[in-house]
Amino acid sequence: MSKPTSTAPAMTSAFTEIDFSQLGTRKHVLSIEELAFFGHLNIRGASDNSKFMHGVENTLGVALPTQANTFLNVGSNTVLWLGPNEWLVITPLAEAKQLEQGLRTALSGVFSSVNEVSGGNSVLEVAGDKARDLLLKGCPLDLHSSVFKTGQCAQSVLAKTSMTLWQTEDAPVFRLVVRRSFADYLGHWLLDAAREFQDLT
Amino acid sequence: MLLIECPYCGTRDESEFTYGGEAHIVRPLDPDALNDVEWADYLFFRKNSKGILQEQWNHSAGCRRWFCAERDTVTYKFKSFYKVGERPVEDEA
Amino acid sequence: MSRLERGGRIDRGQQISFTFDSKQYHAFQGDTIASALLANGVRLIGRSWKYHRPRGIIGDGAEEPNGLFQVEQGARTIPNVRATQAQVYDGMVLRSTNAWPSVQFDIMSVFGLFSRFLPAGFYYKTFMWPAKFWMGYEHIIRKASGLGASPKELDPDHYEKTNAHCDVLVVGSGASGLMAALAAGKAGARVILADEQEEFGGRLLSSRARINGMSSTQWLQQMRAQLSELQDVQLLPRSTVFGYHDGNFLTIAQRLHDHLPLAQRKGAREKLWRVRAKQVVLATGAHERPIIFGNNDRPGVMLASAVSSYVNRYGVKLADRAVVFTNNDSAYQAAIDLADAGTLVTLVDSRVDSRVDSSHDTASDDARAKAAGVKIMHGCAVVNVIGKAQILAAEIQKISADGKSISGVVQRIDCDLLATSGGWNPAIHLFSQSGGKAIWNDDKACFETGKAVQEQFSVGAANASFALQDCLRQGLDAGQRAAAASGHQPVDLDLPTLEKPESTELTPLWRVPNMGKPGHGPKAFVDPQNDVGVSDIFLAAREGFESIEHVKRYTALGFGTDQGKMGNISGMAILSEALGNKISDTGTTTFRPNYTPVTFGAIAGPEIGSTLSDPARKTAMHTWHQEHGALFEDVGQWKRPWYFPKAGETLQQAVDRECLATRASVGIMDASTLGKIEVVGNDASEFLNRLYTNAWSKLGIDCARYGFMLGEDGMVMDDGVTIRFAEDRYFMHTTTGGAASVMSWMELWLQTEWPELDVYLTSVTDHWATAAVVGPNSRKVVSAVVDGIDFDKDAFPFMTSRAGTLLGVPVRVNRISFSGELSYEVNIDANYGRFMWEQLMAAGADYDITPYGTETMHVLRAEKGYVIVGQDTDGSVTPHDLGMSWAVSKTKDFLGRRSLLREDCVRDNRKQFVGLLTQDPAEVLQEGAQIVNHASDDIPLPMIGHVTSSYHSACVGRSIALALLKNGHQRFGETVQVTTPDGRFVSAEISSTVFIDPNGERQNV
Repeated sequence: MSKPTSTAPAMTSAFTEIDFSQLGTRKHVLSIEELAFFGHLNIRGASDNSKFMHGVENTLGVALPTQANTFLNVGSNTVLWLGPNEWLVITPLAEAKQLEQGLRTALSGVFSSVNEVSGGNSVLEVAGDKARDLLLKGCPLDLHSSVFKTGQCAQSVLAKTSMTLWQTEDAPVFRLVVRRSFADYLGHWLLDAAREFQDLT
Repeated sequence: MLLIECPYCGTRDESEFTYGGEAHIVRPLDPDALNDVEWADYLFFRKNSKGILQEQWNHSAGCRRWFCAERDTVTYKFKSFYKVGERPVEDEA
Repeated sequence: MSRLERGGRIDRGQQISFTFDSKQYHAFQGDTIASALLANGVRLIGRSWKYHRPRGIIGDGAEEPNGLFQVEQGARTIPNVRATQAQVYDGMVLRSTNAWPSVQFDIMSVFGLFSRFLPAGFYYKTFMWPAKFWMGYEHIIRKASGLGASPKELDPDHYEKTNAHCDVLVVGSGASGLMAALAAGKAGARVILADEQEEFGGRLLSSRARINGMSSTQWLQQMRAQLSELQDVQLLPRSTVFGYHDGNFLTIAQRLHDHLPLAQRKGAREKLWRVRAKQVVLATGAHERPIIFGNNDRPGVMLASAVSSYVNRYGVKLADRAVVFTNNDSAYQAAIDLADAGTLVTLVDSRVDSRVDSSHDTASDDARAKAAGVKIMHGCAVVNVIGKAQILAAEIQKISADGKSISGVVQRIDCDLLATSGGWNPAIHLFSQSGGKAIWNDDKACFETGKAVQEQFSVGAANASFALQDCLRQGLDAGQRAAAASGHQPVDLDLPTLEKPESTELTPLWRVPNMGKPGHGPKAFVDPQNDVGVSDIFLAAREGFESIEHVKRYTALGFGTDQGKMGNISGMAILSEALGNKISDTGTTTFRPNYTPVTFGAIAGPEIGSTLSDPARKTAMHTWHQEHGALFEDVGQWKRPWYFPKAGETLQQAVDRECLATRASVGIMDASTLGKIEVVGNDASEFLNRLYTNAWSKLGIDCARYGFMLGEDGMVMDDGVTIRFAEDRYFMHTTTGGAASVMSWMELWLQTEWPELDVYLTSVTDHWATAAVVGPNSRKVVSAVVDGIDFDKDAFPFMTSRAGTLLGVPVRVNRISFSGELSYEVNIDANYGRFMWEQLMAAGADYDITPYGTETMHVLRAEKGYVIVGQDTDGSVTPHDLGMSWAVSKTKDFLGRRSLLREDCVRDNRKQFVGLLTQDPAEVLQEGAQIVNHASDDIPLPMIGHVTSSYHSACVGRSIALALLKNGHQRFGETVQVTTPDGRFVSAEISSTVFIDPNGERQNV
């Protein structure tokens, strides 16, 4: 019986086939970058269940945001509000399994659900003067600086798939989570949509 | 293209939502107590009203919550939005 | 050249050349096709579609019915370009649209001689019988009447789409639109100002009015400068707002480079804006309408406002001698513009006298016209024009004050231009699209906007206020109110002042009465593009058509590319005359999007081709499959490997090899696309009990069970294997195509009907990459790479699940099977999906591990009679029909259970799931083929079922098929006849659905 020859387990990112560097180096105009290999935990529970809220807060070190369409950064974690009983925690991949176990333990006996979805989620960072114009080509949200601001997040549509979008800087810098299986499609869509900004300086 | 107010996420574009038909259809607690005609009434028959209709919507590309709305089927204008388990607010005549 | 020596907004420094029907012409930058041709003295530009009468330019905007051209050739050709709205560029190539072989000599014009015999409804009456001839007639008619030709090549251009949001969308940039945009913008509102023309200004671009003591040109410059300084004001020229939908959602087609020479074009050709506006200001202006008289379609008959446009805006010398025919005051300006440009003008006013007594008011239109040298005739009408390819003279008679009769001697006035104005029709198209109802205004003789049903203002000419002073005032007011309504504090702006107010008084006159018998006088056209004449509308009325919607369809009134902008309102007025109704009773037709034609490119945007038209979902192993020669099949949005051909192999050869290798040794398939849902909570078992037909409470930890989900109508909706990971945690598989709808279905019940159940659902479909390792050697392969699991057949039995690791990475191995073989499905974090696949391939090398796709999967499962929901079922099939009553609990309620007891679900002749074995083992039936009892029965043969799945099976050594057959479960062993695509009947024996390993021993080894 032959044993496999590989050494260390190799990971492949969702946007592996997409070369965002072809957008050029004028990053103040527009840049798109994949932030691969983060840990993602989906957390379900009721915000009016104090046992649940305390259990998460004790493990995570911060209370889950309960204001709609907001997120917070704490340490190396980002915690996004997804709905009245759903959150997404983005954490370094190496810590994801441990955090999942920690949360499940802390919430033992409490009506809740914690699931790692690291393999299924993929993060992009879209930044630059034209970032809003780019996203607006496929997103029905009003992203004007007076409406969508740093600290806000929203789940919505991008082109013909869904996404979770949040703004991390006023510059603006956006991050978005998309589903892995749609990454290749979305990558091509983004490159196509970015064409009109490529000659801008 | 309608503007729809999700009770959880706020007002969003119709493209984020899917339609769920008439609201407040209660599944019979004891289906066996119903004859075929009564069961068919639950299963197949809807008001299809001209005017205000209470209906279900799902914020499918958003928070994935189901909620209810009152909408005029003639003008397509929404009258109110409310959570599952709630009833629409009556007009104060 | 017929160009005035000075004046106009054209750039006389930039001469350009273009060709029309292969002949070269010169123009200036800023010319439209229409102004360029007129400046070159070209009057005859096309032929009408039915009678092939010579036609010329009539208007100067969207209402133009005749000036349609084929622009450019080959892949970039554009049909039916409206000459009045398209700018000429250097090197532009134009062809006339509707003439063969040329506009000068048109063979089809012979139709014109027979026009008496081609009345409204002619095609309906003549060509519809016998029906089988219609195809032949249609071919000839299309050739004779064709509008432009669409390109046959793929469109080489790129198109953009974007969403946009604003406080105030202003549609139209005439006087009222500019005022509204400035007022809203100054208040701090986010404004989008869109206009279909090349530059902002609307009718002011053609006007010699003085505003705030400036020429209109200077005033427009100042307004544009002020607007461009405002940060949140988006200016969109060359942008047609063509649709107004619910929720103040409007669509704009922005033309980015159609006005440029081909070589200078780059980037996208058009951008489609999908605008959500808090407030909308409709400043869409109005379309002038002609007065209808005999031969009013001859080249040289134009709208009065268009005449002003060509003279003032484009510096075209239109005529030496002109007649201006009007029923209102606004056309006096056209007469003055012509006279000032050196034309000898006679103004024929159908009114007995104009409202203002000219002897006392030197600023009156009457007095100004006289001062400019215009000869004015009151109480007269143009009854006919002389000339064919170009008018030569107008025939004028007295007309009664009520407009119903003409009298007196016919006076002939030589002229090469006849400008006509019958008043103005507000452009209420977008208002109407938004849901508003048009209301007839008797005083102004036009349809105007009724109550707005969306957040919207109609202003200026669009609001039936045609005078400039009213446009400015209403625009300012609406801009301020729209800003306030969208949360901004309006700022004070001065209302611009005019030297003199404009007068737009009118006495309605739709058509000059014809003294002859109907159909025998000169043809008088209501809708020139569709050759609909006054007599056609009278004929329709005589034949009993009363609804304007029916008359429209019978006569083709308003069907063309101008969508009736020229003739519809006049047509309605004439219909009401014919019916003896009031116009308000006749009503108007419905205005629908699009306002003017929009290219398919703009509508499709970038979402074309195989990459962007629809998302292709790919698994983590997709690149491996590609590298190894897989052909792909679309399953829902997923790209799944279909089969992995080796060099020279056909589909059948590859599938035979993949099937045999899998059953003999080991195969591997990418199963990542199956839907996966974590069902968690204390009530998870109860929830599954209600969802699935079978019971779940007693399922052991790490054990798996197959289940059916039914719709509430009792029909099979989805199926799959669900595994219990913990007391309160299940891992559900759905079908690939059903994943999203099953998730939504489950959430619907949880959230709306059973909120008391403590269950949360989380989709983990994308998180897991899954490899199904299948075949007698699968244990050896999987156990070679997965640690931490005892793979002994008793320690890890069929329908159980274990957690392990693959080189330290956690995996979940499920011993489940969709092939009847010993089989393991290995799940790993998708980031490691390709890595896992390669490990399994390496471990399987000694066993000649064979990757296979969906085709082999289908054959393997069909050999075992396993159902594929959606292929073997079609929404009318119950578990009992499938012979799977064992999966249906008799002791608990579940969704759909009550429906299984309905009369229709328990009748004994339902179609049931059976196997079919053809008499000839080499014959592979067609999927979907109908089944009958006897081919010799009387026609129509009763159809008793259909084939749902059919394959050649290498493992069985013959063809096999699955079918739904009436009463099939009682008919095993009988022979039926199955249809074939080539018209034969094939005998087949009804068999069990299981073709190999009937006792299911292979999966339990």
